[in-house]
Amino acid sequence: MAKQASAFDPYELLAAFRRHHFSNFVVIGGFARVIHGTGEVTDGLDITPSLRPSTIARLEKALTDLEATRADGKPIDLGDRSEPVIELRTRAGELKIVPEPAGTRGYDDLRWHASTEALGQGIRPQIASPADLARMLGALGRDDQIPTLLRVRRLIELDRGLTRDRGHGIER
Amino acid sequence: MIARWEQGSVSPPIESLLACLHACGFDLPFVLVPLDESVDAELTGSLMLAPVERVRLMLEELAERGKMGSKGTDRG
Repeated sequence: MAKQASAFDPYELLAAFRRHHFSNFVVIGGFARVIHGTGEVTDGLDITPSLRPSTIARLEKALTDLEATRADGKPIDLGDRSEPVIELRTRAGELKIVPEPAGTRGYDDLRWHASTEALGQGIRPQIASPADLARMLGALGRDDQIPTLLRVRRLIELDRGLTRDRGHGIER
Repeated sequence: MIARWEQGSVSPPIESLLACLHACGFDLPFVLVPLDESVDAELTGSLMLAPVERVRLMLEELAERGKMGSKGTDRG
């Protein structure tokens, strides 16, 4: 039986990854959008890991540290590529592992435009780009995600405007 | 060519986009709707913050919702 979800603590999740030298992953989903400034509220962390065996081994150690169990109570098998999303519960909240998010080709595709963001406490994960986050939302084709998609697109547009303005400021 | 569109390295001309969609049996009607700027102030305010501040505010909001007994998320 799956245990009750714990309170979401992204710092604890990301610190456990760091302790086990698991760094080849990109943060996606709601938490990535929050980091970029969409102002949403999310209670879980979604990641796309590299699927290299050495990386998966490190992720497995981190999951053990985090006392991760599958939400459906089945054993965790990170080598099973048949599942699009592996939903886990950990002592630091929900964690979803998404090897190949909709509309993408996985880690090697996403890391190309990902940025490394300092979140404090020495945590600096790779975050999927706003354009890639919009691409994923669009590819999901879910009507309930359309407002979020429009919000991300508007954010991209406003950010471009702010960047342009800052650039002009420097020129003067 | 389509791979470059997917990667965002180039944007397709409208004619090419429509040709692709038509080849797939779809159409894309262009309909003008008013631009929704209702979230601009909020998003601009958020953009002015550092990522660490955005996360801090989100966690505070999440804790507040937790106190009120509502589980609120916009995950996707």
